Amino acid sequence: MAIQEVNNTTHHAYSPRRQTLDRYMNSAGRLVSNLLINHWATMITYVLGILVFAALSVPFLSYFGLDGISKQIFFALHLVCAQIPSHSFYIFGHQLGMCARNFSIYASMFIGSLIFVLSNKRIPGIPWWVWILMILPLALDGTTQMFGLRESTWELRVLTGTLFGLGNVWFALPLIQKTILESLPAQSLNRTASS
Amino acid sequence: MTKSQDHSAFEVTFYTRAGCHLCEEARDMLEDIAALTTYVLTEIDIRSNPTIFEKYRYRIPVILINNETLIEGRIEFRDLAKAFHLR
Repeated sequence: MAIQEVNNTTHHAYSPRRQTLDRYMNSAGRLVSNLLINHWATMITYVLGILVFAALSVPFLSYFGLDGISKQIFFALHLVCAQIPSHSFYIFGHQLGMCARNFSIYASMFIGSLIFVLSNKRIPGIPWWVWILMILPLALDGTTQMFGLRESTWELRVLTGTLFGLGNVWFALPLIQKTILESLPAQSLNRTASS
Repeated sequence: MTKSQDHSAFEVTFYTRAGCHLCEEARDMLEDIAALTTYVLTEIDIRSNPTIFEKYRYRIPVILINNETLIEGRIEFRDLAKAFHLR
């Protein structure tokens, strides 16, 4: 009798509308997860591309008199960069939306991730010690400048920033792809076991 | 010029240029400071003088207070307020 009541309650909890909603949520979840698994690198590339394009667009927009838009983009980019004028590049006499170091980092990350996507995510990653070697110059250049021990140059900012950006994508993106490929069969196995 | 009758007013030189976004932000901060203290403002467009242009083209906005304190680049309000002895 008690079991019957529980079953009745359960039956009432899953109304046809709720079942439709569950099915809808399940298919939406599958769609989102498939999208993330298959296109995560493309999404990262788009985000990096938008940042680089936005930083480049600031001086061009100012040059063509579109100061209102240029100003909004410039201040939005302050979220990712300190925008110190003396550390920045200028086009048509107008400051880029990012300093030279950050622009180099994001541009090299964008180019690196674009190459990774165009290679169908098949580029092998670098070992962790090569990654450390690639990010070390920026750490040294940045910290010595930050503590006033020396002043960096635009050439060093670009060089260390590019090494840092390339090192990051070359290390992280293949590693993410490898992890996804390794975890997919495991997920399938779990699903089979639970069902 | 703000409250010029005050003899203890700060003398402020503001180096700027049209189309400089950081300069617009710095100008807003100077207006906020004007509500708190007295200063005499001289605004200089760096393009008006080649020597000044070469000196400040990659540094603006530059704010010089009483020919002593120089604040430039991405200016924070707390630094500006400190320069005006407000904090």
